[in-house]
Amino acid sequence: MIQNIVSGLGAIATFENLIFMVVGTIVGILAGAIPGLSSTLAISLLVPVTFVMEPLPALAMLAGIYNGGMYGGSISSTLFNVPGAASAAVTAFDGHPMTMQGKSARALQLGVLSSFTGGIISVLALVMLAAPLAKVVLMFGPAEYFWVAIFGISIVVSLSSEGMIKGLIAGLLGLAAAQVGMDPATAFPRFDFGNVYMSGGFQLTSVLLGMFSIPSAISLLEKKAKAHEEISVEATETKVKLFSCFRPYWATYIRSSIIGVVVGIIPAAGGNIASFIAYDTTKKLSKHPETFGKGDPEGIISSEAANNAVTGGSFVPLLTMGIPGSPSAAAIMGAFMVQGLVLGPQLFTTNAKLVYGLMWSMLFTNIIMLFAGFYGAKIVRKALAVDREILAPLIFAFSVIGCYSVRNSMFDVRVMIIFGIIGYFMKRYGYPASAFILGYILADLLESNLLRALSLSGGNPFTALFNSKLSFLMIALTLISVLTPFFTSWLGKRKQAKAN
Amino acid sequence: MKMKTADIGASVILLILCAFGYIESGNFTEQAAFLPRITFGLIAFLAVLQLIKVFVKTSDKFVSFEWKRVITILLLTVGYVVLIPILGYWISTVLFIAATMYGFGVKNKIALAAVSLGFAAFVYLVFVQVLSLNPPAPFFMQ
Repeated sequence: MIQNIVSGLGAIATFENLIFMVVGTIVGILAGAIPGLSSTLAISLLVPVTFVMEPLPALAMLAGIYNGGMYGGSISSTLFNVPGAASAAVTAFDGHPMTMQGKSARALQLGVLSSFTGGIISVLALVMLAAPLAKVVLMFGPAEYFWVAIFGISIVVSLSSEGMIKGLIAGLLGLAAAQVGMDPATAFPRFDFGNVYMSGGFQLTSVLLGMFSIPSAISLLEKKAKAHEEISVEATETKVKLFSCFRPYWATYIRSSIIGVVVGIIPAAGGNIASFIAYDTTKKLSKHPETFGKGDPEGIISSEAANNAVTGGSFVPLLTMGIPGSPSAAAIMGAFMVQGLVLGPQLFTTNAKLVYGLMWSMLFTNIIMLFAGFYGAKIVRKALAVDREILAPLIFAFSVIGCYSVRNSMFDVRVMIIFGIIGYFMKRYGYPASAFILGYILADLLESNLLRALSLSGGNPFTALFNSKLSFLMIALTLISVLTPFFTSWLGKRKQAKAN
Repeated sequence: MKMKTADIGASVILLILCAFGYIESGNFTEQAAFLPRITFGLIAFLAVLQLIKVFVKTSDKFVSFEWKRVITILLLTVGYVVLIPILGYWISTVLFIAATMYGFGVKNKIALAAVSLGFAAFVYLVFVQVLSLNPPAPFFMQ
């Protein structure tokens, strides 16, 4: 492993990679900071561009966007009480009160330092956990892979704010959309209606851009209000020393980061859940819980350390099993597919340099983020003033050229627009786009392994799918994944009943 | 639109889609039809569950829509994609960006020209010069 780590460092340490990491991190911070945009949107927009890039700089750039985007959300949360990303909603609880007290500089610096700490701890966890887990996954056969896909799809249960049914419908619609084209076993054409373009199925980039970027652009234009322009910030800028931001709260930094890593590893339990859990834990352990929500630095630290720690954690199931742990990870998975790379344990043997190079890029982009956060806050603040009326058409136009660029096809662009319109209405009525994408991505893994398992067992589904301890382990994980939201909801209700 | 109304509409659309998908999969080989049948069967089951939930649930919420704005955006976008093969990528893109900005309240002519032409220049640099892509040309140049 040490050898792989060193070779990964050798691969990432080039000037070209550094430039892409800097660009990615800055784009991510801006996308995270501007309400209505997100790191997922920025990654989706840039996936087509990575088609002509070498794999490592492409993935390093996307890792930068992911890290930067997680942190960027805290800027608008702190300054304007408008979370740039859902994961930064908790940061606003104490970040904005600090801004109102004239301590915006300190609040922003606490935000970036805690994001950095969370990110670094999560990279360490990724390095330590991914390779051993990949060794276990190497023992998987078709049945286990089938259950991995089911486990991945079961995650959609927790993705819908409108309930389990809508999450599942969205996931199954993604699965259905992936069935257009030839079937993986016999190459029989399905649902192509004699159209030569459809016989190859829909391009992943068309689906990704359609489901993520077009609905975001429509939503930006749909609303007239410019929240960030309605609030004036009167801040007393003071120089804050880095060390003074860390020493008094070191335990909160570390505890919240660990919470973030654990939540990140659990697929679909993203940054927003991590920051809520970390905030709640810190408040409970605090000697002065009454100051939370009124500008307590520990409120910002717990939220930001936890949500950035999710990034490295979510890469563990992505790299070892090909299960994206968050919407951004799903978009990054698209980049792997565009590059022709198959995620899973084999990646650690066939492309070890790339995998460890990517882990190094996660580390370096966190360092870049720290510097950008400390010295570039004023620039980000100016960027936040960009009008929606300017941003939205640019997103549309960039999506069109990005989608077209993958295989010079206007058919792909039309598919993207159709998915965009469907995605917009799904978003408005509570069907999560992330669940749709998850279903779309996992369809091939599910179907090819199901058919392989059935053919190996002579068509008997029982012996095909329930034939090993690992299968039962995956079934247990699936059940935990499905039942956890019900359990936490029940626990919450019980707590509320007790409090009343 | 009320969420309950939207849920009923969505369930009906899903049931029609499932019926269509299930019937269409009858033309496939047994192996190729296996997963589509399960998928459409499950979607239909969930659509029925959603319908039952709508009728059992007492609470409802209103999902507000700025229909005028949404339809304008959709028309502009569809127009943009239709125009690309006719006018080519560059002219259509500059027109689309300027028209959308103007339509949604940016009246400053310098801003309209700077943003639309600036974006075209950016795309030219990145996609044509760096990535060697040839965006669609106008029909009279094909």
